[in-house]
Amino acid sequence: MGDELIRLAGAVQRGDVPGVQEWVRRCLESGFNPGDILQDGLVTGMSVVGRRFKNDEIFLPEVMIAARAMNRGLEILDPYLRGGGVQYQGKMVLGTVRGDLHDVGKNIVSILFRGAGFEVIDLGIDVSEERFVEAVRDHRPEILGLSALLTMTLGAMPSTIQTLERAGYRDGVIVMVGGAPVTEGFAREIGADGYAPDAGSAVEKAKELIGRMGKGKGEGRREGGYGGDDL
Amino acid sequence: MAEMTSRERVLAALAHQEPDRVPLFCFSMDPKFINALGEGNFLKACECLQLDCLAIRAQSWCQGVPNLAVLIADIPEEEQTGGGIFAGWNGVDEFGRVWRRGSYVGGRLRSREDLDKYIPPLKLEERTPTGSVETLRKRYPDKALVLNSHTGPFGLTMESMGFEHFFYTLYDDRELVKEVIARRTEWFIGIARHAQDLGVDFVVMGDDVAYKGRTFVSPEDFEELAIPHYRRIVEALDVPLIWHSDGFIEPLLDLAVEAGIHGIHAMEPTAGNDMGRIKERYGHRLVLLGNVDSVEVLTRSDLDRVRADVDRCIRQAKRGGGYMLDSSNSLHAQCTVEAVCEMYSYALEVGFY
Repeated sequence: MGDELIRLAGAVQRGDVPGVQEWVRRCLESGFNPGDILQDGLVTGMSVVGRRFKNDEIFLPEVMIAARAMNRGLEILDPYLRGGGVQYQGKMVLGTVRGDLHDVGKNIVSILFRGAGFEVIDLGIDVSEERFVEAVRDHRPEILGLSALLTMTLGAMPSTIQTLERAGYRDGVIVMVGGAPVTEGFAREIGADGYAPDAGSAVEKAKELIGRMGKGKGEGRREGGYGGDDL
Repeated sequence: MAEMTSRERVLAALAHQEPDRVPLFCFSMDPKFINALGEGNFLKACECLQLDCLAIRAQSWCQGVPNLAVLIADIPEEEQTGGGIFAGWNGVDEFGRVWRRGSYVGGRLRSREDLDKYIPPLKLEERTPTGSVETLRKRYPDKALVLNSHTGPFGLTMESMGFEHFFYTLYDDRELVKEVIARRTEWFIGIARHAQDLGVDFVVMGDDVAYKGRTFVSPEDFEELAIPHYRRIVEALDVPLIWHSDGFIEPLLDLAVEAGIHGIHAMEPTAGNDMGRIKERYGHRLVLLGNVDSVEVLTRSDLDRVRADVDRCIRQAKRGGGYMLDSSNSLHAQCTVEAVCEMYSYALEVGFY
């Protein structure tokens, strides 16, 4: 890895926006492949942040400023990435379930997954079962992440899974659930594939599940898993 | 031991002495319980649950609508999302917090120019009318009175700025964050001293600084940003200050003790708090309130499980006094009426010393 990429990764870890912008530009000027700048610079830096967060070495503010710096770098890099060739760890569709308007936890999950090299399609808050299924159909993610803060909205998690099943898309996607009222027992009870007690450990859990199910690394979806009817 | 009055019981617990039985406390209550147990009357619901403490409020408003749902027990169902205990259900409140259908969705305070806009005037008599507290004291001379106010300086600063903006501002303009917290501290002291002058026995300051498994900021940041203000509030009051926070607060308890906090409320077990461990380490310094699981236990009507959790709490925390029983968060809308009634009535049976 070039010295420029190491410096870029360091600037991401520090949340140094001008530093990240400068090193992305320098890397481009030096002729680095945009995909390598993304993976070996931005994602590598953010992965360190994610790991340190998981290990309780740093806290949310440090994660947020690192994510902000990474995103500023991505804004510069984005036009160069459009040509393709970027290999993501996997794709995730994410949202807070129907009836729940809270997004802080979901946003943290989104940041950490992006930082770990996932492509994240964030559907926002109060997402209906049908919208989740449409997104799974349209984006074919490896992971579907369902978030909730309110106990009363937990019921939307099993109903989303059931709607996925009815539409024929359940087998093709790993469903992960999380949020303050969600427990491992509840996740098992409703037939989710994965649960993580916090955002920091969710990324590792997702990688583990993807590895176990033979998905990810930009390999695309098993077509057979998406043979469902349109909604 | 001779039977104590509610107030004697609560004061004994606050003094780390063993009362006749564990006092019953409630930090906040969804309108659902006020309707089901008190026919729309908050005090009647408190009587029904045989609470030892009666809460007085420091009223705030959200675009003219009272922020506390106890005052608006008839919130239309379609206007709620179940998180509206503190919400004036739609709009921007006096502090700059944005609400939608009873759920907190963000903050408006961005700059120094917003400070005057979102640090509201004290208006003490409007928030806590002297007459209403005097009436309460006359009607319930034997009950303990408490100011329960979820307007602590750190959490409210975070909420009023919006979480993401708050975290960025910690790095971009830390002095602004400090200024907001300092002004919110003075505001809180104003309402708490007014309540103290009216005769409350203690104050509960709701200040959410943590979530499931973690604190929002590092203990070092918390020490710098919050603890001097907690100390200032403690020193400004003559009555005990209890700190309520959601989430996993154990890493902050040394600091809380250092600041002179008298006790802590909630101690959510599902967020990672272990009340047995807390009692062991801090029971001689901190009065403990709460901890009956409001995530998995009180949300179901499995009364055996409710009784088992009450037994656990009493076993872990009652010895030596210094414990009041309550849920691990609030009596929120997803708790069942059966479970909540069982929690308190069973504690009346088994909470004796």
